[in-house]
Amino acid sequence: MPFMDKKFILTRQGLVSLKSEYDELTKVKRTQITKRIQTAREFGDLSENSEYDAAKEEQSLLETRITQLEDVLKRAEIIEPVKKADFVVIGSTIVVEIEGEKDEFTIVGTIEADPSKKKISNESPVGTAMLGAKVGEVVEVVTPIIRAKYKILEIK
Amino acid sequence: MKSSVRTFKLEEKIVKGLTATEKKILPILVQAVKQVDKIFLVQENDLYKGANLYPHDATREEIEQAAEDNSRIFSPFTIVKRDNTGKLIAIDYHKEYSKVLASVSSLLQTASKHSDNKSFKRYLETLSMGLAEGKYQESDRAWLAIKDSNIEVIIGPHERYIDKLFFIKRAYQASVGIIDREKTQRAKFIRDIFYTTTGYRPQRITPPSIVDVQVQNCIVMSGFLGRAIFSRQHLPSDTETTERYGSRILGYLSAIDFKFERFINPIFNAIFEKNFRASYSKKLLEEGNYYYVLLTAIAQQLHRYRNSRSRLKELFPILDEANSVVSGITHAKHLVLKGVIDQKTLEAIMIAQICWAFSEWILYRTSNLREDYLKGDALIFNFLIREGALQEKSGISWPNFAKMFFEMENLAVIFTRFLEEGEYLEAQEFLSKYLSLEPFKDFDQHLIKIKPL
Repeated sequence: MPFMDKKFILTRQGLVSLKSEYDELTKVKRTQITKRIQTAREFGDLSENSEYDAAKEEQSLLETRITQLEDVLKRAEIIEPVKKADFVVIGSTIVVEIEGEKDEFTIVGTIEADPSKKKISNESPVGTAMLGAKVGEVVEVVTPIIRAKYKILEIK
Repeated sequence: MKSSVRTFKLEEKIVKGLTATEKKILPILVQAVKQVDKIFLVQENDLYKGANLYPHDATREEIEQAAEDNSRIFSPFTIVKRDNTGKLIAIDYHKEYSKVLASVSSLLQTASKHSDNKSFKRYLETLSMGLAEGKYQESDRAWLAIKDSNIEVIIGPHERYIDKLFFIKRAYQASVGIIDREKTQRAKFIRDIFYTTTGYRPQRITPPSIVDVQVQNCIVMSGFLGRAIFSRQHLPSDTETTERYGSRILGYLSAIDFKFERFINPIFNAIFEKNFRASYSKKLLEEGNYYYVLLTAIAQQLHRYRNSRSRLKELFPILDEANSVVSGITHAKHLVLKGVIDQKTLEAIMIAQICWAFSEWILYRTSNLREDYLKGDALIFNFLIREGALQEKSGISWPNFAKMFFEMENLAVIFTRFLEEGEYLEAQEFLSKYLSLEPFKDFDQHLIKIKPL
């Protein structure tokens, strides 16, 4: 799929959270950073002004994030909340066993993915391999370097 | 003897993030850290296995015999000397090095008076007192309880590596730096993934709370730390304290960057084939290097087992290092599977591991301080070469990443078992089969331009 046609899969909650981040960045942060740059300018000599450099750097990061969010919001595809399904879909929370250990995570769209909060992207090796799998099934996830077997214990 | 003080230049914006009080305290702590060099220079001696911690003419047997009557001979915090009759006696560190310690303590007192952070102030006070009186547990506890400080400082007798005779006595070391909040957060996230994917092991030393992680921009290191330029460390180093009060991993960004520029990147360019190198940008390699240090640090803390030091004796630090490396890399599997890092980054991590082994080899030309690290890396390197995971031709290396990873998983099982319940003799047998520094020599022609410190 050409990159420009790519849809960003989001839950409703994910969409709300991205919209609120966008509003915060465009309505609050943008003004704050402009003020900081203005104040730093008043310190004088821009070539030796580290506060000015830091603020400019922050502004650049902010604008990049705003552009990214605009793009995502424009091409967002909402998935409805999953009722308990027999097989793994985007939005499923699954309990698995890997190498004798239990693990639990939710499969989400890439934009919402945050493995530290147990939200795994549908495009990650595990996410890709899990989609469509049923309880009791052993799913082998293979990358060019790694092999791992996950047994699906529960789909919540 | 060359000074052990190593200073790193920090970007101005990093120092700007400190509070006004912290800015006042920092130079005092830098001064205290530098003082520790004086003690370390008295302790270190590369020519003797027991450094200057035991009489040079005392044999291992004589020391062991003396320890039967006097357990303080084997205290981590005493130096062993002969009295007028030639008998071996133990003298407390805080008495032997009292002059320098008084100066360090006084600087810490001054810093604590300035501090407006309650927990940090308490740490500085207990550290000041503990160093002067030879009581370390209270300051360790206070250190673990620090909240909301941007400055991180450690001073004390911590690592055992200079005692190559018994691996008991601690070398003095110190460092001060500024915490990098963003990198610390990221490191904690990686730690959490590791911790949720590690199986139950009955012999594992489990701290009462989850192991803390802190990544810092180090300003100055001295003593053992400055000499060895550690990129990572976990403290307190005492098992009992760790088990009762917790533990913290420290990542030293300045040392990681320094070693990358000085060793890792030049070694990569020296021992890998040109076309192979083209697939890995410097930025990617730098990222792989950072992850490598982080993964090994977390794995080392994750694989602490009861009695492993007493069972494996002087083999412990070699196996501990080897296990940290292979377990760290194999745990990274979960990061790839969950999409935290990609395949290419994992490859860069494995490349960094090979380069680190060679950096230890280069450092070994002038100092045996990190010999245990070199031996740990040599174990892995030889195993990979023998199993065909790493091909070598005329000093140029070709890794097969899939095979490397597979063999590292095998090694992780072997090393973890040694640490968990292995006996000295079986570990020794494994080491006699795979521990050799010879294969490194085949690469020397390409490494000659990379100078040790």
